[in-house]
Amino acid sequence: MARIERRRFHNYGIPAGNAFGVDFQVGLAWGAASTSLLVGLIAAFGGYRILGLALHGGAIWYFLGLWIIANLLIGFSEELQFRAYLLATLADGIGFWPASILLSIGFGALHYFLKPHERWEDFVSNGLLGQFVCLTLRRTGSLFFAIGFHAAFDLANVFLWPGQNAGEYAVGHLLETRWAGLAMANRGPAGS
Amino acid sequence: MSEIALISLTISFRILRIKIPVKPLRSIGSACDGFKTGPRSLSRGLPRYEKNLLQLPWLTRRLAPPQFLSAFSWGLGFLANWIVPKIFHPKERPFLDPVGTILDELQALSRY
Repeated sequence: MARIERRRFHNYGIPAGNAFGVDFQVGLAWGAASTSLLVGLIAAFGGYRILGLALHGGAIWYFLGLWIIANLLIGFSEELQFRAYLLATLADGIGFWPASILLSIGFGALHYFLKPHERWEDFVSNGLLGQFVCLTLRRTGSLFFAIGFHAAFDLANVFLWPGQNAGEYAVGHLLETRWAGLAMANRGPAGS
Repeated sequence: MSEIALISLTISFRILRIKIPVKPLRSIGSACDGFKTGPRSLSRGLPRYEKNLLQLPWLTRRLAPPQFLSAFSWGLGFLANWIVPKIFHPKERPFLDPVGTILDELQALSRY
């Protein structure tokens, strides 16, 4: 499409070089830090407890490696599908912020309708995450912050500080944990 | 155009709007004056960077990116749809399994 439209990749937020440069690394740090802060706050108020390690020995490195690859692929795949060309083209027509809001609602909706056990809170939080990622694209001009952020955010949620996603814990998560809030709310399995 | 073609280069500093003239370079042709060869025959001896990539005549520089992307997406699709399922049997795996996730995302990327 870039060739047909006579545009360069960076017009879609995909710089040709420096893919894993500063933007990507800062995105990784933001993704890991934001999840850790959130879980830390929940733990501080008694909603989260670490019971011990769920993996031992070589299994830790095996699943860490697999989840890093998996989450990098999720970051690349979802950011390229929901931002990049789609956002740039829609923004040409209706402006950046309306386009980003529309796509963020779509991002939340896709998670809500396609994954089991999703609730309206998941819809909203995924939509807000999508909007935040659009903001980073606007600020940095590069999608690689968003890819790094997405990958680290998911890795921290699935592997490092595991919680339920689509009603279940991930295969090969690092820590055995207990979420008191979920039991107190008693509203069934959690979504994303 | 004279036999010794003068190349005038200017380096523009966009911000300062300063133009620095660079001293003209001597043509390569000056070493072959005795053969009475024109600029066209001189260029014949030089590698044609604008034409060949990987020394394949059909693979011009203009066609290389689409060909590479086609081959890449086909390879990714082949890997995701045929090779990985044969080895890892993803349908027997739970929803949040790393191998199943890798496979799903590879398939999504190949479709994209």
